[in-house]
Amino acid sequence: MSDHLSQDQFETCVLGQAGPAELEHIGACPECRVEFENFGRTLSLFRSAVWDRVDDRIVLQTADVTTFTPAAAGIPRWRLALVAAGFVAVVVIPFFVSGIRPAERTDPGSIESPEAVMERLNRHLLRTMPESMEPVMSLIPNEQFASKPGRVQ
Amino acid sequence: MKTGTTSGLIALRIDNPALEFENFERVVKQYRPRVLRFLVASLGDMDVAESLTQDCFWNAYKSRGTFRGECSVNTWLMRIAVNLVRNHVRSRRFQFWKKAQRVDSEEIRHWADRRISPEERAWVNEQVQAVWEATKALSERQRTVFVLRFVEDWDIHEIAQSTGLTESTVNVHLRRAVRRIRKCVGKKR
Repeated sequence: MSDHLSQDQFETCVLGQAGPAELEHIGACPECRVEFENFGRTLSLFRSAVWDRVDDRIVLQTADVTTFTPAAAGIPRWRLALVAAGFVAVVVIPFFVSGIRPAERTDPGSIESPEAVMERLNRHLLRTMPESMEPVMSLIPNEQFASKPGRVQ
Repeated sequence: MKTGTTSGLIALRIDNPALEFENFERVVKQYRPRVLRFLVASLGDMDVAESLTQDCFWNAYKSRGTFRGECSVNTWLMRIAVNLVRNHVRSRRFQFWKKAQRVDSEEIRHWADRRISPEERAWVNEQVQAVWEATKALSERQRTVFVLRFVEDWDIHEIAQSTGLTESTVNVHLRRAVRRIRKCVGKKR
């Protein structure tokens, strides 16, 4: 039989279930005491490492609260992209489309020459009645119409 | 029951932990570090642990109506976390181990206790790394009971409540975990 704690006894001590016999042995045996203390210290270092790591993360997240970002607020990136695409479709594209139309209207071929404008103006001034009535008036003989008083030129 | 007085209200609150859920924000604030610690130590990946912590509180929020106060809120939340770890490890076993390996090399170096002298830091790093590697070799149940016992300082009864195991089974898993870790740490010395 060994003079030191068995594996089972050591585990019992680590789990805090040591009886009087185990406690007495640890108190009396320097080797077992050192072994026990080293193992306990290692476990507590692991524990501290995990606690510190999580505490650091929580402190960082608390600091991050001041810098608001949509991602932090839980808005998915795809939703932001969808909004951007909607903006482009509704605002930007019509803007460019409407920007093209005036160019079509300002086509040089569609502008009347000064001579044509003057001719149209003269025709209008020579007109004795509204344009829409002219087809009807053309059926009436010229002399009759001309001799009628009150004609305005 | 004296519910009309302040002391009566306090007594009611202590008697019925379900009332803690009236202010869920406070529950999150109070228990989040514990849940996150357990998940980090169990999974070894801070990002996954964060994600599962959110899942844990979301699940708790959804099912808070079913909480009857038979155990503490802490135990109940940890039960949810234990199940999340179990599901995560089972569904993503290979990815988990792959990622855990990566985390070791990148992050474990910074886990050392900063309150100690620089001379001791290397030794501490080695010890923490050794325990960390040893926990990876444990079964999921052994790791869970080990973390609850030695990171969260829970007693056997609380661990049994959270894991749904009997106290004797918890004890057996704990002994196996300690044996394995001692063996791994001993090799490093």
